[in-house]
Amino acid sequence: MNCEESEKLLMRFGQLANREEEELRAHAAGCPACAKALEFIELEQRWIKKVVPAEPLHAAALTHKIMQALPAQKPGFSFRFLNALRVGFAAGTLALLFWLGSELLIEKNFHKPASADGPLLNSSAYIMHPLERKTKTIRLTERIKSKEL
Amino acid sequence: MVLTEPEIVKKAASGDRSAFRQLVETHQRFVYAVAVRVLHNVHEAEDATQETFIRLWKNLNNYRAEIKLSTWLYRIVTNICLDMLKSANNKRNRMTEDDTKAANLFAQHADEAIHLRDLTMAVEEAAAQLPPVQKIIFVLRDLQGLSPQEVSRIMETSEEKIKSNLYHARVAIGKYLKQHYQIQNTAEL
Repeated sequence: MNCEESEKLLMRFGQLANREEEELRAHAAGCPACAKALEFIELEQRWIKKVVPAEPLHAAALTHKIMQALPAQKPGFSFRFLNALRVGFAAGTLALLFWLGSELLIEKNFHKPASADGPLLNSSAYIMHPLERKTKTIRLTERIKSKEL
Repeated sequence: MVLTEPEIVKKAASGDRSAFRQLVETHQRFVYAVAVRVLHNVHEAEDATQETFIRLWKNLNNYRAEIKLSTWLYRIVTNICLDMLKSANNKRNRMTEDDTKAANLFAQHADEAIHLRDLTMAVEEAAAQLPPVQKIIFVLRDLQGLSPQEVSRIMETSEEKIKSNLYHARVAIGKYLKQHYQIQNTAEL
């Protein structure tokens, strides 16, 4: 038997057949490393047999504490639908903020045409400028192209 | 009429608290035993036991009869204990006065109580040095007396890994006991 086989038997120590245990002890007799491992495992096995079972000091009080701490809802009740609502609300808030932000940005960056009759409420005033700019860009490109040519 | 465990579970799953109380009374001892051996602190063990049953209550509808309820509870409590052990804020405390009382509870005579308490404390002290997973496997297999197959089901890992971890845990505990408790040698046991 080699050390690898010996370790496999040590892993099953306590459940070994007599023949296997004899083989293990025979190997350990000539192998200090396996002898040490066997010694430690035997010591541990003897000590744990004497270990006092662990029990709650006041079992009835612990039961009461557990029952008191149980949620009011029946088993299986889930707060998942509330989570879905929360996600929906967050998404809505973000969309609103984005819309407000974009509105403010447009107002800041684009010139609002002055009117003698008061503020212009027609939104077409806002979209005029991008269209004009687009037109200008095309004209500029055409001018460059014509120069190149 | 005495109800079987699956029947009690069914009643509890429908919201019957008295049925659930029966389950708590039947199983809380071993749940607590695992928690206190792993966490080495009675207060944390009580918290872990409480949390185990709260999780059981919340998930009773998902209970499958082909798995033993005890296996399920072992799985829940070991996961909770692992989380608590891994928690960076969790300071491990040594045995408190309450633990010592608990160790004394089942001893028959005063002399025997002292001897057994010392032995128990020595083993717990040795186990406290183990990495979390090894410690849980050691508690389930050697202190709770579960079979390697049951431990494998609870830990959801192969039997080979259980055996390997247990081997290292046993060697480490034996080594610790030999180094620290040479006076109480095997002749005394």
